[in-house]
Amino acid sequence: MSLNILIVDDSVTIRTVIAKAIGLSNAPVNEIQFASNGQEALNILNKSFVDLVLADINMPVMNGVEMVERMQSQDQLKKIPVVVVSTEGSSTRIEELKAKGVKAFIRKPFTPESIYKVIVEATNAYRPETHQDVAPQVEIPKTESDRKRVIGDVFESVLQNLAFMFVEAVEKETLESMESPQDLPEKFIKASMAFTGSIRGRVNLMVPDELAKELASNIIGKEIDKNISQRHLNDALKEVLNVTCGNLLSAVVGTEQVFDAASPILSEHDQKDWKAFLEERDSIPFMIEDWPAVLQFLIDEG
Amino acid sequence: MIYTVGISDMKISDNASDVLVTHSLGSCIGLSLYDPDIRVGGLVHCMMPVSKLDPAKAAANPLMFTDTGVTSLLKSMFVRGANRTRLVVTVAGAGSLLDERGFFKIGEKNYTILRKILWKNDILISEQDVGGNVVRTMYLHMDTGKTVIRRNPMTMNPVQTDVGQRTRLKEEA
Repeated sequence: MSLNILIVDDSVTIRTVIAKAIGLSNAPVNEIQFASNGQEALNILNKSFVDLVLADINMPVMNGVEMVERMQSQDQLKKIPVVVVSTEGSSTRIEELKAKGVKAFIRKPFTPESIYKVIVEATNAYRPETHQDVAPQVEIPKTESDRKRVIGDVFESVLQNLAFMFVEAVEKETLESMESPQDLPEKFIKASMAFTGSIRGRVNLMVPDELAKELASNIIGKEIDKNISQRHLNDALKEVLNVTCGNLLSAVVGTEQVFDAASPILSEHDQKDWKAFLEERDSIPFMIEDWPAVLQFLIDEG
Repeated sequence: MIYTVGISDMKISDNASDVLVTHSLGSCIGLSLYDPDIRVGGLVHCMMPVSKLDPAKAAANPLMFTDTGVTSLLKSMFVRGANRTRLVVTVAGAGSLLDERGFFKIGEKNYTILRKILWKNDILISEQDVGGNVVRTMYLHMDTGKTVIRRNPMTMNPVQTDVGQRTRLKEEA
C-alpha cells in the first residue's frame, strides 16, 4: 500500500519538518500534500484521495477541531484517519477530539521517529490503538519563584527538543552587562502571541536575529544560507514561541484547561528596544548557548 | 574477531566474522551504523557533547566529543561506500548519572547533539535505548548487522563500575 498524506499546519516550518521526517522514514508514501488551515484541507480532501491527515489545532481561518467536525459530517471523509500534531496538552480537548474520531496525538515538540511510528499505527486497521499524548502532569506552581523555575524548565525542554539547543536561566545582570557593541547583537526579533481560555494572556520572546537563523537551521535540519528563506527564518521563531506557549500553559495552568491561541506576530527591534524589554518587570532572562534571550509569560488581570 | 571500541574511540568493519563492542556507556553516547547492502558497520563511543568545550582536546581526538565524533563516523562510513538512506542507526547510552557530571545533564546533552547531527544529515534513528540510571554495553554483530544492547545497574561510583565492567568482559571473552 502506498499512502497519500495531507499535512495541515499554518507553520511552513512544521510542514517542512513533518514532510522531511516522513521522507526519511522509508514509509510507503505516494504523495504528500499541504494545507495551511482546515478550510484548505477540506478543499483538498474533497477533490483528491487522501489516506491520512496530519493536522494542527490552532490555525487561522478554520482550526483543526472544526476541520475534524466537518470531516465527520461527510460520509466520504469520516473514515480517513486524522492524527493531531499540536502543542495541545489539554486532556479535556484530547478526549473531545478522540470522541470525534481522531486516531492519535503527537505533541510538539516531537521527534521525527515518532511521526513514522504514529503513521504506521494510524494506518494499520488491525491495531486501532489510540496513541495518547497528554502533557505530563506536573504540579502547578504556586509561588512566584516556582513559577519562574517551571517556565525555565519548559523553555529549556522545548528548545532542546525542537531546536537541539541548550538554554540556561541567568540573572538579569548577566544580560545587562552585555553592553559593548561586540557583545550585544544589533538586531533583535520579538515574537508575540495571545491566548484565551480560563485565563487570558500573552507570551513574548525577544532574541537576536542571528539566533533566529540558528533556530531555523536546526529545526528544519539544514545548514544556514543553504535553502533557508526569510520565510523559514521568521516562521521558525514563531513556531518556537507557539510550542513554548502550548507547553507553558499545560505546565503552569494545568492539562484540564482548554486554550485557544492566536498566530504569533513578529516585530524587528534595535538594542534600545532590547534594553527596555529586558528591564520590564515580567522579563525572564536566558542564555541560549551564546545568545541572550528574554521570555515573558503574561497573564491578564481580572 | 571481537574489537573493543574504547571511550573516545571508533571502529569500522566489513568482515562478517567481526563483533564490535563498546562498554561502560553511562552518560556517554554509543552509536552504531550498519549498511546492509555493502555490509559495512561502524561503532563510535563519545564522551562529551560539544567540541567547543575544549578545542585542543577535540583537535587531538575528535572522537571524544559527540559533535565531531558522530561526524567522523558518518564520514568514514560514507568513504567506505555506505549510503545514508540505507543506514540502520542504533543509539545507546546518554544515561543520567548521579555524579557531578550528571548534574550538568551530560547524557541528555550528548543525546541532543547526536539528534541534531543526524537530523541535519537526513538520517533517522532506527532503534535506541537511552537515558536512565544504567550502564550499557553495545555490540554490533557484523554477520547479521544486528546491534545488541545490554544494561547493567548503575552504582554510585562510576570508576568502580567501569573497572567491574571491563573485568567481566575479559571473563566473557
